[in-house]
Amino acid sequence: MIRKVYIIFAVCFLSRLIVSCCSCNSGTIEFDFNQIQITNLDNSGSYPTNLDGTTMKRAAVAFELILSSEEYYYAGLIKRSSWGFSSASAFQCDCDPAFKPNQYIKNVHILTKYDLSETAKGNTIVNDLFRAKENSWGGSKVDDYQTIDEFVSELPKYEVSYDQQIRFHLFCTEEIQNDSTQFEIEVVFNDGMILTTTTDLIYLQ
Amino acid sequence: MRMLFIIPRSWLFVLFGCFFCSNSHAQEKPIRNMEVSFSIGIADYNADSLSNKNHIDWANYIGDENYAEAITVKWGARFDLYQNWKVDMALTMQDDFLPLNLKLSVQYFLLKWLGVHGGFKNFHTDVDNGKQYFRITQPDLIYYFSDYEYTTLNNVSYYAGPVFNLAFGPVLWRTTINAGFTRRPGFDDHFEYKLRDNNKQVRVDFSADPGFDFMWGANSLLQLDCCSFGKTKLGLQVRTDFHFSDLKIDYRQRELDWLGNTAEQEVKGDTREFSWVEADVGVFLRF
Repeated sequence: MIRKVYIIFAVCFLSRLIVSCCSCNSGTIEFDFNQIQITNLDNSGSYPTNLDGTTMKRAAVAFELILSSEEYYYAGLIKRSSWGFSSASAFQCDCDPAFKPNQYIKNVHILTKYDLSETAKGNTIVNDLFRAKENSWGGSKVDDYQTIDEFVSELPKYEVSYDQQIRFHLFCTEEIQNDSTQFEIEVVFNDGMILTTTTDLIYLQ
Repeated sequence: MRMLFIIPRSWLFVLFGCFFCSNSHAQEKPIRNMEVSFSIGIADYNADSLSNKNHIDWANYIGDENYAEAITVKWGARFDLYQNWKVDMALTMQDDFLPLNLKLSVQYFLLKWLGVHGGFKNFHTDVDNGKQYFRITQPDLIYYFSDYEYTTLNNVSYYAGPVFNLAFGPVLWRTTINAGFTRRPGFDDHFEYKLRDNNKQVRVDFSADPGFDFMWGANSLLQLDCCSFGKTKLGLQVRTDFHFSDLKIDYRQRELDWLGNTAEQEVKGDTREFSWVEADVGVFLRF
């Protein structure tokens, strides 16, 4: 009797196991970058952290730039079941969708609205006075900092990923000789599209 | 690391070559008075601490004056070779519990109580927490290294000198006087720091040169035969090892900042005395 019960359970679980075998859909969702967002960073301490206010140390001016797509949010909302076993129908799993951008960043321009020093005047491109680094909230190494051109050239092109955002940090290399500062960031894509944003008016200590 | 083993091995060939040449005519049992021993002891090493100048002196961070550096577990073997030769070797485990520290002495006795010997030993020392120098001298910087770090140096000493052997009934005392040099390996270290209220970050690399330091010292062995089991004797033994050397660590310091600017300089360390004191107590069996 016990043996028969074992067999019934074994058949049930084996059938469940076979149905559970499924492969993720290899298709990707293509998208365009159409959103740009900039946030202030506090890099006065060990690591950069989000800054709530608009006051920075004059030698520690830093921002985070986020490029994303509105489509991303909606595409991620695929209906999925969470009841009991993960569902599988016709051997298709509810996998996270993969995204593929239709463009890549070709250039980034940083324009200062105010004088930074005697030589870096307002309304000029000041890419040389910034370094870029991948967004990593943990520790960073000296080798991680790159010029804007180096950083842009190493950004992935048409890369399929599950995170459909590009986030990176920008650090000013100058100790700004002014009481306030503001920058305009322009991101140029390979298809000619340009996204522009302006930082808050930053007060310097 | 490979050199450490190659050089002693070549010494062994030379010493054993001399031995076989000088004893090939002898018609006696080649190995006599075989002994094995086990002992537990303590090792304390220390380099004189001198005041730091504008740069870190890594030798200041070798050893600690306040406590012994290692408990040692030692396995030994000794035997007589023909009439005039004796071989004394020991394998020591330090605090890493790896039997990597080898000591070997080959002795040739001109008289019953006086001879000459040559040998080598390898031992390790730690450079403890040297980067704290920067936390102390420049406390306004933000450092990216942990509170305690150390670098292990595997040293090897080569030496020669007279050996004295005295036996009074069940008591045996043997002392070697050693003079030679210690090969200290080079080592690399690095850390990064950031300026407070500033985006500037800097990486500092150190590359210390290997060196040969003159050394001198003495080893002593005191044995007491306690009891016999047939032809086997059981006894107690006390062993000491002192050695001193002049220690000086030169290194290159290179700074790379986040903008790619580099600055490099050669730093000469100050010469100071390094001492190694070791003692162990244990038992031996003589066959």
